[in-house]
Amino acid sequence: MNRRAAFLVALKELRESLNSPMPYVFFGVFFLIEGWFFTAPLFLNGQAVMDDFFAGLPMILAFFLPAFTMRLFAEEYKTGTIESLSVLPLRDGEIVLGKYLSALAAWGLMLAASLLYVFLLVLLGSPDFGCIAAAYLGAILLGAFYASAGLFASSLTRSQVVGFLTGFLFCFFFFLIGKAAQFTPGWPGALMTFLGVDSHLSSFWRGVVDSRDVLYFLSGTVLFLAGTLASFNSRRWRSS
Amino acid sequence: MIDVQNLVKDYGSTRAVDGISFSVQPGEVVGLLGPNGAGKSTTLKILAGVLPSGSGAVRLGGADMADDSLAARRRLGYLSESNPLYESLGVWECLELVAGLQGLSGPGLKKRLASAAERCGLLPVVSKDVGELSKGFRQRLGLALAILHDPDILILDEPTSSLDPNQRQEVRDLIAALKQKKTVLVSTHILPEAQAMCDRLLIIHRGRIVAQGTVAELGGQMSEENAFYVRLSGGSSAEMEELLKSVPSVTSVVFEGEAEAGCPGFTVKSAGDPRRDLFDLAAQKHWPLMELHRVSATLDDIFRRLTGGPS
Repeated sequence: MNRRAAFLVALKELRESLNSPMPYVFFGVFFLIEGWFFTAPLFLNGQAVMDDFFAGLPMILAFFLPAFTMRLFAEEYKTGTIESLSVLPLRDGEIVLGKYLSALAAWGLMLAASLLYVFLLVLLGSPDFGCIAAAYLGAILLGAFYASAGLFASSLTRSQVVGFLTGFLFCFFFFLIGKAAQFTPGWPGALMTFLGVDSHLSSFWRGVVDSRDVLYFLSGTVLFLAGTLASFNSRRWRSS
Repeated sequence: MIDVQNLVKDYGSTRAVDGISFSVQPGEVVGLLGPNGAGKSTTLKILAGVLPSGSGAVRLGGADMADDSLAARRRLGYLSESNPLYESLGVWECLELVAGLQGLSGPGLKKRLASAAERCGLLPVVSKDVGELSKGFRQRLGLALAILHDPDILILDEPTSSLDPNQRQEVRDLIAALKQKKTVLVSTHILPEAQAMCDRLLIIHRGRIVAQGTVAELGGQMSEENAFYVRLSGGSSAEMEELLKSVPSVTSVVFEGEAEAGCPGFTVKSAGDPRRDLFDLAAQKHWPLMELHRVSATLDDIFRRLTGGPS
């Protein structure tokens, strides 16, 4: 694996994304919504916490990350630039990793911007840094998981809209199944609880880092990335 | 060198490439000619590693495209027919990106990129976005991206499409300069261009190579009908035509006009070689023989005859 090649692919994706207006719109809307989740408890309840900010992420990210990842493969298939990448001396894994890293970097930038909220909390009260650090780790892992799902969805189609909707459905499935588990008795309920992201995030939000939850997100991410690689590999025989 | 052995490619039940074999030596520019849908682009895509072949082998500079695809692709510069480019990147960004992905780095990189940009006439647009470029400049950028890592092998699919006559000439000059050190395979359907640019031609039709060789060789191969041009002096054209038709092996005589006064010219087709008989006839009638030569088929004729177009 040539890490420089993957890094260059990631840089290309970020440059392409930042040269278009879409990410800026998403960035603005994301902070408009999350700004409400942050300021509501602060001003209405007088609490210096970020609980609502993090609690809203599983739903909000199910929309925003597929919106970023939708173009990563679908656009290359549609415009034919995938052909230009295919003739360069790159392994498929390097292309997939590069594109995935660009989505992670975009999510990292958004999270980094949200550190402004932590700074405000420090000014206005005395927040629990341990709890916030654990929640940020959970948010990173959730973003990594959703980004891999979005990337997989994009690798399946030439249409960005289809890529977005499929990615949203994948992410929303893991969000919703945890919610639906509350109304499902017995082992199916337990299985749904395990599959959903909610049960694996609650400990992060409380400030507890459980290795089982870390493993859940990492294994989900690896599975979707492996799916993306398989789907991307298959483009050659699919075009036959 | 490029070495292709028994290449086959099917799209569903349609055979796009049907057992193609050829090789291109270093220092040689070979043209792949054929009508639309003949299998040119599919062949080139397989050679470039964009598409897998159904069967057969492709070796670029000794590296097998199936077994050692990375090594094969490192030796390759490829310009696709559709020339897809990253529209939202700048021209310079595009050059930097491809150079980086080709593994180029170091202090000489900027100079190298500037040299590729200059060679392909990109300097006036180097600070623009790719999306703003005209078709001609897009084609030049595609060429610059194909050559900037100085590959041994160049595969160019319709490199002069969308270019005006001056730009076409520039591309032809560039290819002529590159061929000293490189193996070049070019596809085109512009026949005069193929003639001007290529040392050897492969004519492909319905996925098969139906003829190959230099234009002169192909012309010779296609002149199996024994057509000759003969120009005589000293008699009337009607009398000459009658007597030419009476030569035993001659099957048809067509009057081609008088290239100079009193010297009518004819195209004579015959079952065998009629030159001795024509000479004897001219001697017997005391008609000075001004001109006698075999009529070679033009590339246009060859192409139309081999690919089934109207002749």
